[in-house]
Amino acid sequence: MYRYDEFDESMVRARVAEFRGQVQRRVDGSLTEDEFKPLRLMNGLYLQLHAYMLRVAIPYGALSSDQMRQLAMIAERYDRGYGHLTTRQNIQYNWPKLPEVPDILDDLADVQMHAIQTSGNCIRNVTSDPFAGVAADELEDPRPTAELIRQWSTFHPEFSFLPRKFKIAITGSPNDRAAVYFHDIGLRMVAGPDDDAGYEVIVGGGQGRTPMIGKVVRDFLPREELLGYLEAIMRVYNLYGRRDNKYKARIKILVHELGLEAFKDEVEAEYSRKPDADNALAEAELQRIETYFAPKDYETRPDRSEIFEVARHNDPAFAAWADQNLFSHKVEGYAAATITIKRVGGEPGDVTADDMRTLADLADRFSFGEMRVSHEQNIVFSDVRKDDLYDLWKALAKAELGDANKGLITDIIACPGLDYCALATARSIPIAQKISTAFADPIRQRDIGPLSIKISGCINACGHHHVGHIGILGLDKAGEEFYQITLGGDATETAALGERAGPGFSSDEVAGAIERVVDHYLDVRDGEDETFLETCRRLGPDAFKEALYAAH
Amino acid sequence: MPLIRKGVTVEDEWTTLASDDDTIFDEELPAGDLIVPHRRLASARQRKHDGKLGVAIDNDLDIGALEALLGTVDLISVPFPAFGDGRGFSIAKSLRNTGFTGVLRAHGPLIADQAAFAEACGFDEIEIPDDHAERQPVDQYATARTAFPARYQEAYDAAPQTVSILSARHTARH
Repeated sequence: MYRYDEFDESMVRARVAEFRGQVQRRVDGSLTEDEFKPLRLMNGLYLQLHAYMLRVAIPYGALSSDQMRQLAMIAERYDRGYGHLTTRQNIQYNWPKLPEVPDILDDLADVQMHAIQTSGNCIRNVTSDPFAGVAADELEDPRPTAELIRQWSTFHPEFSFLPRKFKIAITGSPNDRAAVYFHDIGLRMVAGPDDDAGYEVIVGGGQGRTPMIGKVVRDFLPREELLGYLEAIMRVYNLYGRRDNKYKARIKILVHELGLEAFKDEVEAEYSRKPDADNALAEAELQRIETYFAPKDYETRPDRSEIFEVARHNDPAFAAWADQNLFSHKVEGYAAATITIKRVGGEPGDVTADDMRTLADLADRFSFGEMRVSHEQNIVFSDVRKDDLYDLWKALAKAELGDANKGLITDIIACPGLDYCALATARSIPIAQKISTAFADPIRQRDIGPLSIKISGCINACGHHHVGHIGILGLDKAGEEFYQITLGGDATETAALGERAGPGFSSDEVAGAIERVVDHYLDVRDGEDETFLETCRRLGPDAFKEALYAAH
Repeated sequence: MPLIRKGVTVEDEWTTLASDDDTIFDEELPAGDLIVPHRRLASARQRKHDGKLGVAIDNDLDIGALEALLGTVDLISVPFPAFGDGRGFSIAKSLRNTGFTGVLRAHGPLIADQAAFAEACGFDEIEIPDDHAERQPVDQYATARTAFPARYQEAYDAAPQTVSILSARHTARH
């Protein structure tokens, strides 16, 4: 993975010193609260319902075991012994104290981490495929580009006070696991006309209260032109994006109001004004970064592992996990394993300090000391020898981290909701807990098959409910929480927004409603191979309404 | 309205004509270096005037309108209605990209922490409101502008951070 050189190191340290000074200037009155707010936000510090919340960046989800141990230390020293994995591959602490935050940032810097631009109206943490670099279906490794964008966007002089926040995601695989159609800018690595490397550039996707699927502004952008082209998009947005209404300030609204063609023309005109002199430098930098992502020191092994096959045959619980949580690796004899942080009845994405240390130790033993955080709020061990999978799983199971529910109905994504968040209108976590408890039976989960439930506690859609196969949106009606259900959403390359099924449900009714939808799906699916999403597409969301409202 | 250049307060040698005072344009322009409102620029340029001419623009000009200013003035004052409204940074950068070599002035309640960004985008000076300056003395701008040892971005050469990390790395390898 990427390692800081002396420049990266000095920039992050300078940032901590700067923030320490800003806290001081807030305390002595130089800065008003209004002035301090964007500064703390750009250091990941929110003021939430009960306390400050610190969001730590995990660029494109990559984490070393030493970094994970430091996160565990921080959880214990400054927080209440746990952290929360987010849908943008970050980790949040819910209970830090303001005067201690600069110390936390120092502790993060000790392991080459930071909280830079994890919030605020600036370019946020760049996200990517959790299987980047190892996926068998990958065209090219997106991580070097993601790191290039991380650096380019860090403390950008021109683009740090944008109309609104700005999120970029990149995938190197045609099978999109980074939700690139739902970001302000999505990049798909594609081969050009002469098989040269480059990107398809998608702009204006997003969720929130106005969900939109991103649109292609460039079919093919040669890779050495990336930063120049991104700069042109950002400048057009910064000049023309709306600032009169924060709910209409994202780039998706600009693209929508200008129209795709007019927006494209603006970007291309701006891009043509720019000399291409620094393309060579960006390309040289990309090549430098690529050296950090060279293939691991893999052993030459047969693709079929006897140890794995025997264990799989003898231990049904392991077989279930292996069937559900493993992912094809591009190197023979290896697999990528997803460790779901979705204990039945637990809080999606919450990891205790003990969990973190267990994961760090296991990553050292089984996956070259590295792991990734996925946008599904899980952990991925990207490089496990197939011979080691059984040992890995046994150790995970002992720590209650061995659930075989990756991609299944209990692998729920949920925002923190009204339990923590100042914006929320309803609770999310208890709904997730109720649903995962209702579907706790692993055999039933496997029978249902791939089904993503995503829960947001308000229309800002941090829980990505618009793209859940089943989406749940928590709202407030006259002081009562109620929940709207959407069906048929899809965050991948077959991107779709879920359609609202009808009137909402109370918090006590939601789990039952989901059960009725799922039971109906099991009744009407065209064989066991037709997934919920496929059935939903074939019959249309309306086909589920009768079942959904049967008890009403 | 204190004027800050590279972290130091300087004398404002320009006179800014208020945008709502139209009477001044009925007569000869006063002598000295003048900043006139954008909508008055054309008529001001036609009048006899002993001194340099600058313009105070609104912050919603498109790139075409910015390009049209080229060769007409020696100073452009770009407003920041609020410090969180960063449109002025792109206006400055666009003006520099189109070849404007005159003085660029940021006008508004920019906070100290934005000083280096403003310079990097091509601003020469920042004019801040009086009450703002009382809370945030100029030495805070001086400290903040050199808070970082370098920058990651190419082509923001006017920054106090003279080193671009990309070129420094590149030089180190060759």
